[in-house]
Amino acid sequence: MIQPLLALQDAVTPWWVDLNLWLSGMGRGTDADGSVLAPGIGTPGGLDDWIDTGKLPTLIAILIYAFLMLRSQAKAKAGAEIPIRRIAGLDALDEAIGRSTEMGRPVLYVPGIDEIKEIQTIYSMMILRHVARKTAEYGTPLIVPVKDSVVMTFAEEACKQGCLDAGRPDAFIADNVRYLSNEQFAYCAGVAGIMNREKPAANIMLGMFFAESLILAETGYASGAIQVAGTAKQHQLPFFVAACDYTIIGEEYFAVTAYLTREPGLLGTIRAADIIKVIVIILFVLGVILATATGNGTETSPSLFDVYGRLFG
Amino acid sequence: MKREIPIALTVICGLLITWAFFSPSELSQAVNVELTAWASIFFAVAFLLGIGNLVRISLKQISARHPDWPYKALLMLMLFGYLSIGLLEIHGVIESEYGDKAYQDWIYERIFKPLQSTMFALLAFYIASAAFRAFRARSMEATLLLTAGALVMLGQVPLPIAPPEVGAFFARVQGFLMAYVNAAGQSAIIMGAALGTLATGLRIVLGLERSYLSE
Repeated sequence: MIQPLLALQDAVTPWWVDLNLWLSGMGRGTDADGSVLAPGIGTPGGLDDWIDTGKLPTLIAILIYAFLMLRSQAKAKAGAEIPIRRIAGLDALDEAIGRSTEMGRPVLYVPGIDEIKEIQTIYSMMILRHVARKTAEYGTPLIVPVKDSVVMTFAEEACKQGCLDAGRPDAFIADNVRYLSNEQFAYCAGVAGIMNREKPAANIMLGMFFAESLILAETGYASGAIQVAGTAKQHQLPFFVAACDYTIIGEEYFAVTAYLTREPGLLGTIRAADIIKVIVIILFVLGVILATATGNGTETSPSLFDVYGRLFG
Repeated sequence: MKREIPIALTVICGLLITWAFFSPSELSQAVNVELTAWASIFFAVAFLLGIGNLVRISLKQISARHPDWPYKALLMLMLFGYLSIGLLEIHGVIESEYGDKAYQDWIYERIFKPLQSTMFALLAFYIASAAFRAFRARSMEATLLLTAGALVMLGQVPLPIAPPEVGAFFARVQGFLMAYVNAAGQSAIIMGAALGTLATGLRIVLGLERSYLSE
């Protein structure tokens, strides 16, 4: 049965070759005599000039994601219930702030050490606003040491806004948002100093962390504070898991604001991420099957006929 | 308007940078270079704000004789001392036979770097203490962690008193755990985090997420 299929393969051009030719053809210019130039990148006035065709799959994936996100948001706003599982680390945020209040000691919020252009740092600022609102409601001081001066301005705004959200603008203390140093370990030493001298009862570490993560987490543990940490940086997660009371892992980190506010629009984005995840898992499984079927991986662009031949031929 | 203008600027800049990522056109790349240059200027100005914050808080604590004031005084001394030495060297007021910026480099190489290395070296002790707590077999999960950790460690360290086959066996086990079990877990975390990053980025670029802005 495989022989006719293999013969057909020679006669049929795979779809991705057709697509590639079509895309290249869009970029074809014409010569002085009006003849069409050979397809290729960089021909003037064509599609290749405006879109990097190598990145087209990424663009399509992002557009699908954006579509799903907007659709899920619309559904959520229309009243569809989107359940979200319990995340212990996020429930622990309130517990940690409450404990600080009972003990009459401050809360320390460390937003990581990366710049504001890092998405985890931006997200950390959003969470900071919620933490600032809670601490303002309870009348507990909030200390935010920062490593980057741009992050400092964002942190000041987030704290100020959090206090306004709580109806307590007077709770904002400008001196508690502290720029320490632009150097990684100098900053780390500064935060460890705050942990040891000012004895915060709760350390919340959310953002992008590097080698300083364990130093901060262990210093916090030694000072007896309850610790909630979270990052999407997979290399630092084991350190936080080992040294902190609660850890917010990977994607949970980006669900914090949706989880805390239960705002339908934000919950919708989590649903969209879950749908994409299912699609990606299906693609993973298909990819594993195809990679297994196509042998040692040295071949490029195997056709479906090759795969069929290996599986059933 | 106080809220709408920043959101509009975020959306426009976000879309322009996204366009530059996908488009190799001269126009998009020129816009990208221009916006990145503006960002660099903003960062440079904000650096001064950071220094201002540091100086303001430190001077306040020194004048109030806060319990930490000696540390703050030392910080100010180093901050302005290092800055002064750099300025004096740049303008040729002080010179060294060892070359330009010799004094500044000496402070950086002989004081700052060793201090930085000291902080980094603390990790060795902290890893041991954290591992000691994490590897206590108090639950099923902790026991699994302990077993996996012990196997990986045995695969990494030399075993001089054991026959070579034993070392090779543990190396194979370690390779399997790292290449399949660990890599699979890490891939799952990376995938989830990447989707979260994309969702957050889209929310900001499309102007749907506004909680990072003041009301």
